[in-house]
Amino acid sequence: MISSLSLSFLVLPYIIRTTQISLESLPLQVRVTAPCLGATKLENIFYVLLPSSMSGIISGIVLAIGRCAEDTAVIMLTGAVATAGIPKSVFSSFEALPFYIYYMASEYSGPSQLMKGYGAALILLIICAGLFAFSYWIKNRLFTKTGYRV
Amino acid sequence: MMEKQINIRIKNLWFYYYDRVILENLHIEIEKNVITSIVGPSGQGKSTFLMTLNRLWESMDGARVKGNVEINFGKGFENIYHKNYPVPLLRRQVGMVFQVPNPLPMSIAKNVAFPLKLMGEKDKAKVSQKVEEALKRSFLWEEVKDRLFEDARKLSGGQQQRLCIARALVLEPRVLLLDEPTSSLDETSARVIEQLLMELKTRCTIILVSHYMDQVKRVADKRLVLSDRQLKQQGK
Repeated sequence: MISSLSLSFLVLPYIIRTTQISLESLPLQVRVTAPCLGATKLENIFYVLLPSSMSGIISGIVLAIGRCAEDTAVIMLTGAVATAGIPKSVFSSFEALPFYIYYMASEYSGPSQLMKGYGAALILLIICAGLFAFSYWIKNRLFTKTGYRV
Repeated sequence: MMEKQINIRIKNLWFYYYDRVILENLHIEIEKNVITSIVGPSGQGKSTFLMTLNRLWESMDGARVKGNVEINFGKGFENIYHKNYPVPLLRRQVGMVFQVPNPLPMSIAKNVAFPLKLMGEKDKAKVSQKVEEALKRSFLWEEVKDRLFEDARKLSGGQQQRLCIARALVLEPRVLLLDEPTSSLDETSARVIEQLLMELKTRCTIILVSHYMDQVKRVADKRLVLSDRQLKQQGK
């Protein structure tokens, strides 16, 4: 719980910035269309600006999740242990892949443990590649829907 | 001879962009149910002038207006720069169409119905009826009646511009501002828009910014020239 809160604070500026860039990259004509028709600022944001820049915002969120998955320093301080098994509640200690890889690489006692470390590294890489691919897919899919490249 | 009716009164209007004066002490009256065209060299503030009539300039950083604009929406003249004047209400009564068509990323029907949604109109039958009327008035109904739920961006440039006019008309505005509405269109589409404007002037006051003098001669009843920060009447 504390780890997830800490990580969300860590990536919040990144998400805010990608959202800001997505909104600002919309053409001026799109931004003034709804106000011209009598929309208030909030109506413009919810009916036009957010749906039109959704691809950029969601891509930013997915990339931020990838950033969280790779982060080690924060979770080491806030609850990750080397061997915890499956956590029983949101407040329980847990294993984190980056920490597990670091632990295995520095403390291994035989080739089988080192192989486990490599295996964990491979899983982490696959997760991150999957998130990047998902982000790319969202960006292209929403572009065809909204028509705005952000 | 019919007495001319004034629809818009502009008094001592100044427009500043940061410390630059764009419009200087304008005094002008615009007649009701006529097409008033605004011509002049590029970069003189023609589009800016249009934006002073629906307060759209307020979304620009560094822009500032001094003076009064009074518009008669049927209940006498109202100062649209009064501090308590509701801007969304103003923009529902003063429609605006831009140089490049700007359909929203939604269907044809939803585009036209969008201003009604903003007004909180929930009656679907009424919305459908108003959408149909607006599309008919903008000469687009026959071309789109069988594909109302298709993406509006699939329409041609001329059709998109007529869709934007329909979207502005669905609220039955008293004033319609057109900022070079045909400059991105081919000759045929431009002529259709011109014909549409001639039809619309019986219902609303039209202010048209155009660079094409032959177009101005064809459609405009009054001609104003914006040059050296001043707006002056010219010709007819």
